[in-house]
Amino acid sequence: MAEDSLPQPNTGPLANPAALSVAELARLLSAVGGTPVTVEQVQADLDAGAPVLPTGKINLVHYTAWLLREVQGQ
Amino acid sequence: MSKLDVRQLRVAELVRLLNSGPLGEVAQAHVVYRHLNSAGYRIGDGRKIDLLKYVAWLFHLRRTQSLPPGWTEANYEQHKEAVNARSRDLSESARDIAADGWVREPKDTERRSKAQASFRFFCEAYFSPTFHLAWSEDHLKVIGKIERAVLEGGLFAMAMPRGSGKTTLCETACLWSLLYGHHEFVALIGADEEHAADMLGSIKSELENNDLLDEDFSEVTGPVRALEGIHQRAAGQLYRGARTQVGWTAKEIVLPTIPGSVASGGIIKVSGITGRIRGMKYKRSDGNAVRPSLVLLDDPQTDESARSPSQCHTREQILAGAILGLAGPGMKMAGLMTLTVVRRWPSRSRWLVSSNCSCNGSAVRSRQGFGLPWP
Repeated sequence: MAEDSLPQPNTGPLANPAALSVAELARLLSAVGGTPVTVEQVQADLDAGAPVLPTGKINLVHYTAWLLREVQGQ
Repeated sequence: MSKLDVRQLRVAELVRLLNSGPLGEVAQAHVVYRHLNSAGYRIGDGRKIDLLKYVAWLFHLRRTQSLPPGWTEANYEQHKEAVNARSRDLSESARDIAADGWVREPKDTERRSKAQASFRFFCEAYFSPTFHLAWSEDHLKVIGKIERAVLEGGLFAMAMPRGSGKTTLCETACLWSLLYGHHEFVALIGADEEHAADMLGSIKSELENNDLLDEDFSEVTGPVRALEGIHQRAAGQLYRGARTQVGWTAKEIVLPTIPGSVASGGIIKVSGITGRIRGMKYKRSDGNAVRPSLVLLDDPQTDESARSPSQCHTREQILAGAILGLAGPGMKMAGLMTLTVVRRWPSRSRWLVSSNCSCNGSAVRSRQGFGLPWP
C-alpha cells in the first residue's frame, strides 16, 4: 500500500492513513461517505473491538478489514 | 512491492491488502465482488475499488445491518434520541419525591410547636416507646441542662450511672436541635469511633423508622424514608425539581433541603474523641463552610482510658483544645458532656467546675443507682 498521504476531499489537513486519530477517521468517513459520522460512532467501533495501534491511532486498512469481517458476521 | 493506488484497487489487490493485516484472512474475492455489484459506483468506477469509499460504505452497511427492519440509520438515531429523552424524563420523575406524598403537613401542629422549646416534651411526645417510664429527679436536671445548652448556650457536664440513658438523651438532643433549627451543625463525640458510629446508626434508625417523628416532621423524615435504604439514591434525590442535598454516610447525616423547612441542611457529624475532631466542618454546595455550634459528648472515657492517667490527660487536652475550638475563631460553642465516673479523675472535675476555667462550665453528678425511669 502506498504510504503517501491520501487525498482526502474536504477532510482538512492530509492525514497518514496508516495512523489516523479517531477524529481524523470520523472526518474522513463523513467526507467520503456523504453522511455525517461522529467521533462517538467511531469510538463505539473501537470499543466493540476494532483494531487500534499501540499509539492509539487507527490503521485504515486494518479498520476496513475489521468492518468487512463484521458485516460478514452479521 | 509496487506501490498501490488505494483509490483504484483491483478486487484481487484489495483482498490481498485486507488479508495482510493483523486480523488475517477476512476478505474473499467473491464477497468483495458482491459488494462491488451491490454498492455500484458508490465505491469505485465499476471495475476498480476506492478504498476510502469502500470503508465509508462498509461503515454505514454495518450500522444498517443492525437496525430493525424498515429503519434507516437517520430515523433510527432520531428514535434512539427520543427513547433516551423519555428515559431521562422517567428517571427524573422517579427521583422526584414530591408527587409520592413523602412530605406532608404536620399531623399535630400543636404538639410540634409545644416541643420546640421543651426538650422534655419532645422526648415524651416523639420518643415515648423509649422514654416510657416516669422521669427521675436527676433525669429532669439533666434534661434541663440539655435544654439550656441547646437554647441558650453554655457548657455542661453530667455524671450519670451506666444504663441511665446518657447516650439516648444525647442522640435525642441532636435531633431536637436540628429538627427545630436550634442549631445548624451538631457534633456528636463518643469515646471511640465505634461508639460514635453506633450513635449515628441509632439516629438514622429514628429518622427512618420513628412514625411519631414522621407524623410531624415529614419534611425531614420523608426524603430519608424515600431512599428506602438505598443510600446511593441520596445524591440524585429531587423535590419539585431541586436536589434535596440529603447526605447519608457512615460519619455524617445532612438533613434534606426542603423549601420552608427550618431543618434544611442540618448536619450531624460523629467522631471518636481521639479521632479527627480538630477543624471539623462541612462545605455546602454553595461553597459556604459551616462549623459545629453545638457539641454533645457522650461518655468520652472508655474503661481502659479511665485507668490510664496519661490517656485521661490526653482526653482532657482534646476537650479543652480541639472540641471547644470547633466553632471556629471567635465563635461560641455550646456543649454538653455526659459521663460515667469509672474512677476518680481530679483533673476532669477541675476542668468542669472550676470557676477559673476558661470554659466556664458547670457540672451535675447524679446519684449512683438512683431509680432509673427506664430499664
